[in-house]
Amino acid sequence: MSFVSPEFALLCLLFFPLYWQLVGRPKVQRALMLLSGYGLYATWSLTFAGVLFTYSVGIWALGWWVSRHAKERLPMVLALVLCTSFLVFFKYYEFLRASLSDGLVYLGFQTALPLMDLVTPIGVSFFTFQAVTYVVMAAKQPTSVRGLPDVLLFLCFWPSLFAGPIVRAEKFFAQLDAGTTGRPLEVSLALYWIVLGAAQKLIFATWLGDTFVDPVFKYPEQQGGLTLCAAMVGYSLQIVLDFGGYTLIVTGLARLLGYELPVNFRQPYLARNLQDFWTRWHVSLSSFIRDYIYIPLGGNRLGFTRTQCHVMLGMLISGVWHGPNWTFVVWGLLHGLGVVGINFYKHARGPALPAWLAHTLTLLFVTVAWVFFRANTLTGALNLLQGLWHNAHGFWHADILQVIQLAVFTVVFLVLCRHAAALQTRVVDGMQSMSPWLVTAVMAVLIYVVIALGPSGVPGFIYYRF
Amino acid sequence: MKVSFSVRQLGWMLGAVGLINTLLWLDSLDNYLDARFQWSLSAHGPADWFEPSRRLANQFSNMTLQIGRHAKEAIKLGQEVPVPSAKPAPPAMQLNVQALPEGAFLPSLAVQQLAAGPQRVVFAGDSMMQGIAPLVIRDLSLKHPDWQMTDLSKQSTGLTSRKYFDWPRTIQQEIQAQKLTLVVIFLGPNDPRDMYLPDKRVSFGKPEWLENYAARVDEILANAVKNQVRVIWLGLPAMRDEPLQRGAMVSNHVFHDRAQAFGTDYLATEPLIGLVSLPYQKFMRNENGLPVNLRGEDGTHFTPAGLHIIKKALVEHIEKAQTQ
Repeated sequence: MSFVSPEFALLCLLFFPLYWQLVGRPKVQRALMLLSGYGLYATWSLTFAGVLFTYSVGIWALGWWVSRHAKERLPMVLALVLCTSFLVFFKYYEFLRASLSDGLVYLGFQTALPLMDLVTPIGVSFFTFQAVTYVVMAAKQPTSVRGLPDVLLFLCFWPSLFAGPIVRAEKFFAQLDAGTTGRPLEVSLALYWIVLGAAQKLIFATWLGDTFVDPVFKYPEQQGGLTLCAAMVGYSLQIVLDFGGYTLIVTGLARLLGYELPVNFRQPYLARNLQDFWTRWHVSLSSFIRDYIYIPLGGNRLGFTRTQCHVMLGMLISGVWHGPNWTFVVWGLLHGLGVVGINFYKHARGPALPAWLAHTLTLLFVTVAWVFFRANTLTGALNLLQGLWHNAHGFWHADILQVIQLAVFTVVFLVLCRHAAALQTRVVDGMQSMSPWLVTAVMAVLIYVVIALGPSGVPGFIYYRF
Repeated sequence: MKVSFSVRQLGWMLGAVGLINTLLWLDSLDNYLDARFQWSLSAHGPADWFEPSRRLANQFSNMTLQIGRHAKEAIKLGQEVPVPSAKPAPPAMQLNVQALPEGAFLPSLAVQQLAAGPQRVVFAGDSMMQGIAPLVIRDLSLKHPDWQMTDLSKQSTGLTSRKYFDWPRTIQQEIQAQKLTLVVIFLGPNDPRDMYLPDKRVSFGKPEWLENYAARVDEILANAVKNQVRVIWLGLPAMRDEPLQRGAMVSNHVFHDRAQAFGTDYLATEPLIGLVSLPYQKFMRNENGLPVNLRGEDGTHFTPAGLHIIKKALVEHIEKAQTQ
């Protein structure tokens, strides 16, 4: 069940009042959260709700085990291998089998890996990374190990279950222990995020996808160069509005439940270099890779060359995390090469670029890299990029009115990014000075408009795939 | 920490927003629930309740600048687009579908010949066609740059729910608007579900369901034949989920039977991807004897390798129809 579906909205109307009624009874309230999490997950697949439960019990047991051997390294390593092998098996087995098979056949051998009809559980990349944070927490702070109900709730916390943000165990349990959960937090802000996120997703991301991106990525060879450029820019905007919109919605919902989710976006398209971009884009993933992979490998403590290897590995993992496809491998490697390139530039004491140039170059690089993220195959991505300068239709063959629309939208978007924080403060302050009746009326009208301008049916979120 | 509204206030605020929007969108909600859960609100309440929301949505639609959207809004908001009515041929098919023996399948029918000269082709269907159409169009465009090809595929659509999306009407409009010479159709996984007729609900698989489903296929084929438009209807391969597998069996029976009755083409994907009369299988061996994964994770759609196989068969079918 999607968070932007009518059935979810209608269920929320029943769920939230009931949930808030249980404020004084945290155990019952958490039981309700757990039940609703598994219920929501079961709407995608009943079998996988069972798999998630079993996996969570396994993670709880691993956490208990590593906390008993906190001073030993091997149990933690084994536990991490076990909890991530679930992800590797379900998500990457067929990719690895087929790639290995192709490689061996090329060399004249036969593959021995068996065929398996596997289906990847939704949200597996998110909840396995959350499980990693729990196991590491249990190993580093043995006294922080939790009971089974808490671990079940952590791994089935529905606002972050399907597409993040990746919540860290210590942050989640700190909120439970502080006793702040259960009551809505910063209601005006939460409502603002939910409506803004729905508008971003349903109106703007859908419009960009339908108008500029999907038709062009489907039929790149039928488009002129300018239309291909528009599709690239359109997708850069679509993905940030889609995933950013999703994150706003779930963060707002979590606030209504009394939980704070980690920040996932800090206006990534205002970044002035790729390192800066990665502190703003999908922050819960990039900070996970930094803290659980890059730093444990040695980070920047082992010399310049090793640091660049760690950067490349981290970026490669970031790419592969999105899915078993060479396009994601290339996307990750491109970003890795970009960051390494900047490191070399700084190492060689190259002059600092003017802010506008640094910003433009960063946007350009990110936009080109997104082509590999969006395309279904490497060939598709390369065909599209090749069409920019080698095109039978010529560069200017395009619907100029649409291109102008996109250009205006892009400028307005970037300006709003700069002023988003100030705008948020003003809106939230305004809501707090309004009567509940007026807020209700305004929200009703806004939601009506969002639905009216949205697509027919329930659109999928880009990050539900991962 | 700022909490400007009490829990009680927040409860009624959300309730009021939900109630207002439910009432304002009642007609669209009815369409959605019908398409998604086969549950019709309008079947349980007076039609008057739905009229204000329909009118409001239409007015809003007229007022609003359409940002890059065209026909789909009309369908979403239930606007009536006048279309001359077609006269479907009376269904004359066996209304009791029997499973074929293991290993059997309904074979392809290749009886039509394309008209001479450049073709004007429409690809219609659900997400099955969404995967195939770009590949076929790319291939045919290289061979026939003068052909005009349009991909109309729309996911989650089918023939069961005309309220959500009306394929017979859409195809008829396209035939007239584009003076089509060929329509290629690939749909079905969204169809094994109950059908809401103006006065009743008809259960999937019952003779009355088959009769009405066949009538919708007939409507498309009758219009095409009347306008001398060739039709290639793609049959469905095996499906992993049991209801879809049964749906594929029933749909293929109807598609094949009606194609035979109207003298149009049927392209069986079963021998390419997996027979409906056999258990579902994800992998098939290629010409080198190596297993290739043909099916997507949902057990319904196809991997690039699966799409490539169907594309190849469809392009060959069209090419043969041209050179016969």
